[in-house]
Amino acid sequence: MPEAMNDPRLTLLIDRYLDSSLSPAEKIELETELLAHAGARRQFWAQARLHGALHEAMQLSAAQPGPQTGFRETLAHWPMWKHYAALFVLFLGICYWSYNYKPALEPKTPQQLAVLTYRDAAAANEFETGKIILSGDLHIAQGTVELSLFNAVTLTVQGPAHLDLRSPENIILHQGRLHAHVPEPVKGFTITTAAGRLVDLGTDFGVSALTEDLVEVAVFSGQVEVFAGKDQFILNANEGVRLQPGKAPEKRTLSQGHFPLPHEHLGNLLVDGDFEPDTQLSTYDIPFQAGRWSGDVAKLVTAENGVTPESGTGMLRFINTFNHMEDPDQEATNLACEQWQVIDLAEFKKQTPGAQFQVRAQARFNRAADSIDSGFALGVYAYNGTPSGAHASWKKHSLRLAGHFKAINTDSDPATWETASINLNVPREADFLLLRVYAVENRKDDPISEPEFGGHYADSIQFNIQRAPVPASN
Amino acid sequence: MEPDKPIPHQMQVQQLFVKHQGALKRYILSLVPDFADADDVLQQVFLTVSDKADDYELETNFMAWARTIARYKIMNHWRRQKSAPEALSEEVLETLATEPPEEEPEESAFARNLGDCLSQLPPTARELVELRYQRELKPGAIADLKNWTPNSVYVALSRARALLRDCLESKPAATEPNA
Repeated sequence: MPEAMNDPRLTLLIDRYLDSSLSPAEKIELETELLAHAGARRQFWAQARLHGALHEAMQLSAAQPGPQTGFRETLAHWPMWKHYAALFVLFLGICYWSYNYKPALEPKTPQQLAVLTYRDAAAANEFETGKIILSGDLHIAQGTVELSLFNAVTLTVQGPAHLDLRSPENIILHQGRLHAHVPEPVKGFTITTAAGRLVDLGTDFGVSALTEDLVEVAVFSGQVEVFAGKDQFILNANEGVRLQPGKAPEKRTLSQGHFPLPHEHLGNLLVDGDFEPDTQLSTYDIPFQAGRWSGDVAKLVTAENGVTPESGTGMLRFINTFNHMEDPDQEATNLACEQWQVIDLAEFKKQTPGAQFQVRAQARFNRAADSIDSGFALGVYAYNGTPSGAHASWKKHSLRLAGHFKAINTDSDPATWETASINLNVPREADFLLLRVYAVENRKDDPISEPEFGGHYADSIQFNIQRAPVPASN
Repeated sequence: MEPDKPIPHQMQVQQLFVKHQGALKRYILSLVPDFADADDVLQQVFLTVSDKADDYELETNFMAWARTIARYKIMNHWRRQKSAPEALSEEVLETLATEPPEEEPEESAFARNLGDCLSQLPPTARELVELRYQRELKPGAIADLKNWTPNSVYVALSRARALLRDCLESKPAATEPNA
């Protein structure tokens, strides 16, 4: 029988299978090859293995804390001493710059001014996160990038853009739109355009230079001092101005949507993740509304069984593997005790339509020294629709847009809390998220009239959402 | 101080699951390529591994045992999704699943090699790989995002993977770098 190994047609068919995009005819073709040729099956496993390894590698890369990082750095698996060494060198560089930088002198050789901390898909051809940005010209053909300058200023720049980075405090904007976040101590940060000079007095502001002859500036907080020809004036929060060479400045209202929005940490969106005594906790399966815990039989407790809350005075105790929504005659699932919370994204999506969100969820677990069951897990799942449909959505698997879970084993030392964490890139079409925390049964034969879990706890659950930078909408 | 208690058998089995869950996930992804579906199957495997821990004898091949459980879960998954256009027939799945790939070489060396190869990809190919595997977008969604035709995304992704396979084959077999 002829071998099918390394057949380009077979390669394509397997790739299409891995991308869930086989046509019915292609499916039959692939199935025939796989059944007929051992070589085809070997090729299948080789390609499938890369599919799994790429997913693992990329998720590992995405799981790095802070702004999105490049996979190259993550996969390099540097020993920790190299990370510390790199940080130390960077620290020395910043110190050197701080002591030697003289604003009056323009640098003769390129200097390291910033790190690129974010770029969207449209800018991915040109930039990689983590890239060091040198002084001099910076061209961005398309997409949006975020630069973290070494003086703590953050610039969100939308292409097409051309900047001349003279120093961390002095930038020339030839073309493009940007948002500048200048922390209070860094007063005097200056952006020069063909139509005028803008000196920051500790603020957030946007600049749009779609052409060199037309520059628009809006202040969102704080103040900016504007120098345009013979005119010099202060622009306050919620004020805007249009500058054109040879013309008097024209004050006008400019919406925030006229400028790119910087990334924003939306904070911990979970309600009662610390399980303090006033936490609302129900035992009626998946909740139908956001902002409260519900699920299997569980209760709020204070320190007990040698376990002290990880934070505050309360913690969640998992009790049984059934809830009170179920038929009372039904047996316990004997699998896991779950608690759920719905996180509604509607308000955030309304504020910034089309924005990309990233979630980092984390839970701490612990158990009593003499307890038997040792597994815990944390899951986050994305759906569209409304939170009232969360229960139905969970039951119908095909409605899930994305999801991840993390299972961990805990030790039997009640003095230590173990952590499970997850990162999820939320699909744009998602309207709400389901968070699931659960303890898993090892021994299944507990009588359900008694607690099936002999001292299993969760505490300090966090659900942090970050909104990625958003390009200007008008 | 209390004397050290022996670790319960079930816990040791769950520890083995945690240790091997990356390899199990890769195995499941081979036969259930959708990332969210594969996560679901892995979750079911975890529950069954916990449930059947007593059946597993320590010191025997955990991966072989866990893969058998995974195989049943995978078959169940596709039985439930029989109408899905991408579902391979049960006969094909059984044939594939009973011929598992050869033992994987040392994992960290493979990951390191893959990292090197990813960094050598042309920017466009690298972006596509990120969109597909980091943001978990399907080719249709990538086509919308990039304003490409779906077919050009399939072809470009296929080329990117071919480049990676070529690069991985050119690397020396799993060897640890010098300290």
